[in-house]
Amino acid sequence: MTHGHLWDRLSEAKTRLDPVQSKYRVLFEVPNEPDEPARVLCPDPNWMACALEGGILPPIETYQRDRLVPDGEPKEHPYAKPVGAMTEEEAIEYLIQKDIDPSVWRDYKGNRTIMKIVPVELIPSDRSFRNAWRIAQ
Amino acid sequence: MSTLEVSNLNDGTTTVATTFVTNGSLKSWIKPAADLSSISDSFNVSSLDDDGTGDGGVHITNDMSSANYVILGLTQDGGTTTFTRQCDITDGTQAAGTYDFEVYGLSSSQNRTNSDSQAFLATVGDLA
Repeated sequence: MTHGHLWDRLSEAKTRLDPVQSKYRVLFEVPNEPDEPARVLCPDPNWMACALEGGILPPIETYQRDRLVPDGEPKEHPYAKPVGAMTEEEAIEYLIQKDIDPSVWRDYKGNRTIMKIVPVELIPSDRSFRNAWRIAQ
Repeated sequence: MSTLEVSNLNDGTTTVATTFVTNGSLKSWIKPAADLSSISDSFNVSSLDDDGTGDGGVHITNDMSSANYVILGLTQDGGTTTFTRQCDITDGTQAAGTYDFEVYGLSSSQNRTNSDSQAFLATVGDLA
């Protein structure tokens, strides 16, 4: 194995790559929590730098398979061969599949729009009524 | 990248295994913006959720080995002397690759109320 452990690659990348603040956010609602406000997912700038660089992050399929692994059992993603460079848009799609529950992006069959990828400027800066945020239909 | 392969470290009198150092190091950390709109800096974090006022979630890039790890969480005091601010981990959310947290204030005259205050978070434990 020549690609080493994911944590080692992240450590090395942190010393070498400048963080990249994404111009996107993912706005989503959780179907089984209808009373909760809309959530906003913010990509990590160091993670985004790794995604754009390539050769650091594992295939998204390894995270999906690891979701089925019982807690405490060995996981695949830290040891998997890394994938190549992504565009920012591809990185956002990867992150949705990694960090948002499949009930939001895969399994939802209702009529409401419960997820949107939006430019960061569209997220309100006034948080006075943050706990009432919903996705406009 | 060069690699040093050493099993032990010695300071002249004491020898410890290199795993003594790596096992005890932080495995991830994050300083989000107070309003959870962005991430100031981090390590081994893939994203941050803004779930509401003073209500956030952290996703880890290289999972911990299990949900049995320690999360360290602090918040700034805001310079106040009349109430206290705290950061806690939301019940039932700690998993190998993610956890949720809440930041709130309380005083003798006000029950716990979530607030958008600066949090500092890190994890310690075994990696997957």
